[in-house]
Amino acid sequence: MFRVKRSSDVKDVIHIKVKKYAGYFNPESRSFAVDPHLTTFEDLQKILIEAFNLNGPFHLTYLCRDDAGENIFLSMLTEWDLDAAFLTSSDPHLRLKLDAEPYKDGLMSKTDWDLHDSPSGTFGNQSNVFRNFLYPVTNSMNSMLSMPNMQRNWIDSLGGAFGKLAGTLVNNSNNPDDCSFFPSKPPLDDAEFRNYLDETGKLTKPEELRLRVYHGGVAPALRKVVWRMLLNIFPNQLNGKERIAYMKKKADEYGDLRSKWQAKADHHEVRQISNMVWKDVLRTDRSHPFFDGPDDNPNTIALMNILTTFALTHPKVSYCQGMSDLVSPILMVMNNEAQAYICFCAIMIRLRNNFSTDGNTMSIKFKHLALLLKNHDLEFFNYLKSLGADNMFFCYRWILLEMKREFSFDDAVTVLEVMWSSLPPQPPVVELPLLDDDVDSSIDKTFPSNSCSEKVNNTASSAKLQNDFSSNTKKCAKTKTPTLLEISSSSSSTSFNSYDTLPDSAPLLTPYVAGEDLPSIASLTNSTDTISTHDGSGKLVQVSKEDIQSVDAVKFFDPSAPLVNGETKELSNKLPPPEELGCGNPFLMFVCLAVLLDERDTLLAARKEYDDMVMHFDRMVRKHQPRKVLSKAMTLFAEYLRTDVS
Amino acid sequence: MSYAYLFKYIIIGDTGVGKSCLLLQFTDKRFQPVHDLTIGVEFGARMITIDGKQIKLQIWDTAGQESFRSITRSYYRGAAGALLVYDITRRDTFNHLTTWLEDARQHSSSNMVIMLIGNKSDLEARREVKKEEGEAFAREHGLIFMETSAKTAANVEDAFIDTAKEIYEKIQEGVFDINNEANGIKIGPQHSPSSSGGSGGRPRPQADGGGCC
Repeated sequence: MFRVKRSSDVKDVIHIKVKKYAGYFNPESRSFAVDPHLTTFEDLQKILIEAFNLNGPFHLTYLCRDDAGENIFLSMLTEWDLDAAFLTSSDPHLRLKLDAEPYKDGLMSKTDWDLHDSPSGTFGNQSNVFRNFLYPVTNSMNSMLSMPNMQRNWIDSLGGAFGKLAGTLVNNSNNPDDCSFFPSKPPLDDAEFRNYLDETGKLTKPEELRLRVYHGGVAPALRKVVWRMLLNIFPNQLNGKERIAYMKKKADEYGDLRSKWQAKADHHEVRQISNMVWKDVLRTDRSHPFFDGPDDNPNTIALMNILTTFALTHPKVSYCQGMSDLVSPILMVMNNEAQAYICFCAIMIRLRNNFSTDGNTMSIKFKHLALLLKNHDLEFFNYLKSLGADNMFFCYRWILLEMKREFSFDDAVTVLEVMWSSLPPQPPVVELPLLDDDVDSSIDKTFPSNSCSEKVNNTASSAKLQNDFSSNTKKCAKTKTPTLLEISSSSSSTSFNSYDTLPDSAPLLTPYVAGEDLPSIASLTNSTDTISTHDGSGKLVQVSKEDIQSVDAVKFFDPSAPLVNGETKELSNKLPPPEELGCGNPFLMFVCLAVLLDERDTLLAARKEYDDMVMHFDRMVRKHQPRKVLSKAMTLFAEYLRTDVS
Repeated sequence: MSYAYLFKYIIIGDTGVGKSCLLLQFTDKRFQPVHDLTIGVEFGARMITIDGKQIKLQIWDTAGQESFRSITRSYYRGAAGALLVYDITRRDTFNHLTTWLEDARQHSSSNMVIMLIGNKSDLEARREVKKEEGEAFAREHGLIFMETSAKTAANVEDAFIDTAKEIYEKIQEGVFDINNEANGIKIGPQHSPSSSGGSGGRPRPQADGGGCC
């Protein structure tokens, strides 16, 4: 039955991670597993053509370590190459690079993978990792603005809209209170929405759909459908019927996860988490009619179920305050507990780092916002600095909740959908995971890790937390992974080892999200930095010694920390590019900036003190004007994108 | 409104013990049974009078959850007073006091005045922590102690004002260096040292009126 003769040393299952590079577009990732004894080189090519929807020639290389221990990419042209790759370079993953425009020069030369060969210049590597992993849409905005002749079809639709956008910018830049930027179109309605689908209901123009939402939001009746797309819960290429089936399947999956903990409602940990969540849902948007009524109204109960299920199935993140604010508009729009859970899992892929106890991601976002303000309005920035407010901590809630609480609930719904539409589509490849891959499918076995509850009211150091996390994952770590100490001891081996330390997640056709590559690889490179930063305390180092297989202790650190920890960046006044700015949501930074600038004259005139300045903003909770703020933010964002390109 | 001194306070304690409600009761004299979950740090301020002097209390209300600790810690510095709050109906919030106290002492000025507060005294029927236990803990750690109810306003004024009195006393005794704002004390605008009654503060020209409440 074996179709090919492989060495008996080849494993039974090979996990493959592929990145496709094509011109100016950011790489796409796919992840899957194959049986090497059944898979020929021709099969692999077919899989790749299918997976990336390829319709032209491509060139394959695989990551290999040569005799000198250097990482190199070798061409994969024949059955024999594949055999060699399976044998020598597939532990824990076979890493492929697919060049979809093999005959164009100069674009592919600096990929993130090549960078791992270089033992020096860690910092430079990282920024390139980010450039390559993040945000095709923002990049495409850049490309479109700077290179209008390429990729006609795609750019035309984007380009027309953004050309108009730039025009509006010029016309109205003298009027600071101008609201015409948003909405520049009526909310997307059902009839128009169909233009973005084919006759089977397949979403054929995801980027254009987003751009359309960016300009006018979504009509309330259509939100339920469009939000599921904006939040990246569907894999590409599903038609209407398939989406319905997919939702049904995922909803059943959620039902199973929920009933597992509900059957153990008396369990100490389950009780602790659900109590904690309950206290918070009782004070989440209760003045909105949707959550009105007695404490045990069905929607408040649904909110609790969603958050408790999430906490128990994502023990590394668990439950943190603020999450209930994120779920509540989603639940209101979906008006269905299971669907809201699915959407929440999707949005948390992007936002989970905000909630990590080390605070690294939040701290980068503060720094980016400060830099943005400084670049834009030095006088106002200096005023904040004179108050000691230039750390921007007073914007904590803005950033953590992505401005949800700064607008009335109903306005926030519009602001959120517009903000999501500014982000690139990042669909899951196979399906969206509803639980972390280190949680057993029988969650009763693995959960509850004590990290969940300890996270809440324990002032133990984060080292302790990481200890808990990693001991929790020891069970599922299959490969020997280097300690943090090993990583820090040699920067050249760091890069290579980083692949080894990736969680061995994917059983055959496991759900896998393209974006997941980002935290893993980036954070691992980051670990070197983390160690050197904390080395003095000795604490962290000790943890790493104890946790030989500290996959998740490593993964836990914020991926983007070194971007600001690195001295080069700290000293620079230059704004990061869109794929770095705001760690995944550049537009949010401009919404914050718009709100700040809106009040600058008042604050500067009064020369308010720190507390009065902060209370000035606190008093405006839920009172900001979405049109005004979004118009301003869009103007500033367009300006930034144009500058970034030039 | 002009003031002689500004004192910075921080309110800390487990989530759900009533920190924000205490603040709201003190600054706005009202109780809001359903209060927004505090995210990060929020603020309040009120003017009080001690010894005939106007004192502005600037109060930093922190979120109780561990995930916010990295930001709330940064507010310990520069606080002259701390209200450490637990909920008398939840034993676990009392059990966590030691870690809160360690955290506060580690990150604050050594002169910071700490008031221990057992909140929700109106819920006598659900009491899990005896008043004597609170008193004993306070005695053992050198804190002032009070049971309060943000709902009925019982002792809320006193909790904030007694803490201020203690700080004021320390200023009179020269324990606080009032020229060092890291201690959480600031001399008011247009307020000369002679009329402040304090020890050697320098006058601050050209600051704003300050008062918000």
